Amino acid sequence: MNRKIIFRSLIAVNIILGIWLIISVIGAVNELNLQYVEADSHTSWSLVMYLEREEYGVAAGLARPVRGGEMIAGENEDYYRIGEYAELSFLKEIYVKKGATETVAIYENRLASLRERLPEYAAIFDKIDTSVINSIKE
Amino acid sequence: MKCRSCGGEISLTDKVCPYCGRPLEETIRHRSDMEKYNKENEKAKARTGKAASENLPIVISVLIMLVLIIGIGVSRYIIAEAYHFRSDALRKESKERYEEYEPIISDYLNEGDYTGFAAFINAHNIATYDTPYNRLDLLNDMAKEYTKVVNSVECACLVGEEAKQYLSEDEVYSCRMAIESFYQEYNDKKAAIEKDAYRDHIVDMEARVGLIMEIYLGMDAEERTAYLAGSVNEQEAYLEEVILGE
Repeated sequence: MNRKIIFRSLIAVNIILGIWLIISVIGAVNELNLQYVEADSHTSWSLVMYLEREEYGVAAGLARPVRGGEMIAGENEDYYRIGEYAELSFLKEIYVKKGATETVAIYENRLASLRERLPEYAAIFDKIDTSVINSIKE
Repeated sequence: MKCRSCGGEISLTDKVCPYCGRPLEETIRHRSDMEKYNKENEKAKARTGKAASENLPIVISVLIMLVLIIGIGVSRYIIAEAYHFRSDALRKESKERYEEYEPIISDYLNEGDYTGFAAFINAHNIATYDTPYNRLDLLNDMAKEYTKVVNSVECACLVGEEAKQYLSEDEVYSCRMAIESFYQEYNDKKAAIEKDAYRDHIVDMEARVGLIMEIYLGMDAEERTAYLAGSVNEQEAYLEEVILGE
């Protein structure tokens, strides 16, 4: 009787451990995935929050990895691109001030291509443009 | 032992003398004891076998449990150390792909995109302290400082109307610290910068920081000099006025 109880308990424990092992192995394999980026859900969630709060500068900083060539998971890439738009808009003003017309043209093309790529976010892009204009203190 | 009748050599297990054929009464007791012990031995073996077969599933389960626990332990260790494994692998890969990365890095630098350059170095886990990228070390250090300035000014200035309510002294502090840190690094490393292969880019970064301060913080060259010469309180008061409107 006791043996049966012990045996059944062990089976139950082993099933739980087996499930835990499978989850751990899947987690370990995912962790070792050699993709450069992990648009981890936490960063993407933060990015969305800051864009909603109109904190475009913070979003630009969070999205910076994409400018370094990191790959972002499909469903989150749009938010990163909006952040990239904010950063490029910010940096473009430096070239405008420097009078580097060629570079300004390159940045404007990039900004235009981001707008073309994400037409559904036109309103946010407009707000970013406005925030850049409003932030110029000269 | 010797046979009492013929004196021949007999064993304790012999029932009759192998030489004279006399029934050996003197070994009867020994033989009966031996049979008894053999029976008991068989019983003990049977009992042990039964107990072993009854406990076998439990033993196997315990062994399986141990294997599972070890497996979970190894997996958890891999998860915990995955960042280092991945970093090491990326660092190794960045060395192998040097020929491929070199022109990309040049593009960032030629465009003056130092935040992009720093992001690229970071994304690909390029070790600028090691060959073949070590000539980028000082440039990378300054690009990180430059990125901090860009980041802090962006956070303080690039906000929609709704977000202005979230601005606080934290943004003022981080702007002041980033600007201070950049100029401190720039001045401390001036001698090394003069000799560096990427001197022009680092000098360009300094000029850009000046432009950022002019464009987004409203300081011309003269005001910037005054700001940098000012005390912490004076710097914060200036930034509070510009960023928070206080």
